[in-house]
Amino acid sequence: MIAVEEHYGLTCGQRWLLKLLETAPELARPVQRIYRLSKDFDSSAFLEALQGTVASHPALRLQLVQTNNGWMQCFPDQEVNVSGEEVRGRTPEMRAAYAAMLIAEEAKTTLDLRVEPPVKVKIVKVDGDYLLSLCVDHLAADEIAFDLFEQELLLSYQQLVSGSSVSKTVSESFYTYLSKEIAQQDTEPANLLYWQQQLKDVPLNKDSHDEISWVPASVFNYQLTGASLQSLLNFCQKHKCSLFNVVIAFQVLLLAEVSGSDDVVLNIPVSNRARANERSIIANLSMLLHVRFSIKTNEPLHQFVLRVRDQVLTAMAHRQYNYSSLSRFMTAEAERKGFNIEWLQGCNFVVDNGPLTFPNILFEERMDNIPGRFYDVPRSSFTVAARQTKSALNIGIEWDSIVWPVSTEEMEAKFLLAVQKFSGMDVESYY
Amino acid sequence: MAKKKDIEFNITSLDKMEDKRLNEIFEKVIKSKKGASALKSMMRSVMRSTLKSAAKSTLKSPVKSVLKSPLKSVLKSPIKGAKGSTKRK
Repeated sequence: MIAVEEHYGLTCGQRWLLKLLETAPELARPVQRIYRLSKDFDSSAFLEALQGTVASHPALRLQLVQTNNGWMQCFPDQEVNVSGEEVRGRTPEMRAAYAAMLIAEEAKTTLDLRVEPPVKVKIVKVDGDYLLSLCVDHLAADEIAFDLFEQELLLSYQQLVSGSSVSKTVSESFYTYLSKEIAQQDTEPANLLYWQQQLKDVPLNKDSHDEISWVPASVFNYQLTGASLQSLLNFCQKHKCSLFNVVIAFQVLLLAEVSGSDDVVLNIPVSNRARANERSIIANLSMLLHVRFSIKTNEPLHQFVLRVRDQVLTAMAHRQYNYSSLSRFMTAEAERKGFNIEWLQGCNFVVDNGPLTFPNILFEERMDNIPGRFYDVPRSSFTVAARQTKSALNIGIEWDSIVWPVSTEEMEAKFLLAVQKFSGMDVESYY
Repeated sequence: MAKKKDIEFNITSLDKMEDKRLNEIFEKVIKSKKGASALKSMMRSVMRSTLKSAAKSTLKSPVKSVLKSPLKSVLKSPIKGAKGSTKRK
């Protein structure tokens, strides 16, 4: 029997996020998903499903504790913070604007996990619609965990509205994972040395600023299906690599082309869910890798992808390291050169074998990922977010077009050209 | 049998709010690109509700006035004096 009050060390990924919270709190806001709920929404069943799901997964009850040995975490029983608000009066436009403001306010401030639970829920009732804001602190859940949370919430709700009871077993998998990471801690110094060697003399941005500023995002979304997807999969099969490798290779080549640099660092979060029982854990197990790639002129494309594959695999083998120590090393490197570190180029790749379909019994639609929306991104960022399902590869590219001067039309042309080249129609060098 | 817990909805009446405060919120939402797109999504459902209620009372409420885009009017000022734009810079 596990005592819930017991304190546990933070995982590598959590130490990275805590460092982010200390250095750039505006990037450590909770992750928010927004939904419009079903017209037949049963608030009592939803509350029970939510409390049950949170009770079953320790990380969703995560509390930070400062001890003599640094930051630790524990998982006390705590209820989710759920608030409801109904907006009435004035015009439909005013009510919708007010509801939008209420929802936006939810994710504006960082959560203080010493005193607040990591899950924060708000339901806004407006003109007969129920809008749900579901915020989870990134220390408690990564993107895969959020998908799992969403799915479990739906399943429990479904069972409750059909009159069944839901299982209240506490998942032990997260504790098993924590024990595994603690047991591997003696590998961290050697892994840190690997990262220091990899990132020594890395190009730094002399134009970067101490404070993060936000700029309107340029956005390009594309879905590959059918023959286009199959030809990419054929390329992967032929060259023994994955779509993950191909997407990274595409982004590295694109960044090199736009920046004119042959030395590119990409932030790649890895899921750390190698074992079968780790794939269902609702927690943040991800770890950030700063992988450095070099471009060789006239290198055949498939050879470059294989080099990317091998480099990512080696980086993943060194994924357990102390982020604070690496951060100190990089800060010293930057100070020595009088520059700042501004690595905001990232590639997030998720394999989703059971994507949620909308509408369903609980969620009418998800509203925060609707194409065509406008939003801001940190200055100089360039992120590729890819999601592979059984039948599609969804790619979303968002970038600061001031630092990376590429129009959406140019991005589309570059993307389609890359797909054509990776599809094996042209296996010569990219340039 | 114990009564099931439920979510309490606090009622916020915009009628009780000052025009100035509402104008500020409205401008803020419209000016923030993220807010404007969230508003656009929400207005789709408001439009649906409006169309549904219009269908019930077609004779009293001419369809013509319902079909005037609520979004269009959102981009104008709902309260005299408010200004806003969703145009990207």
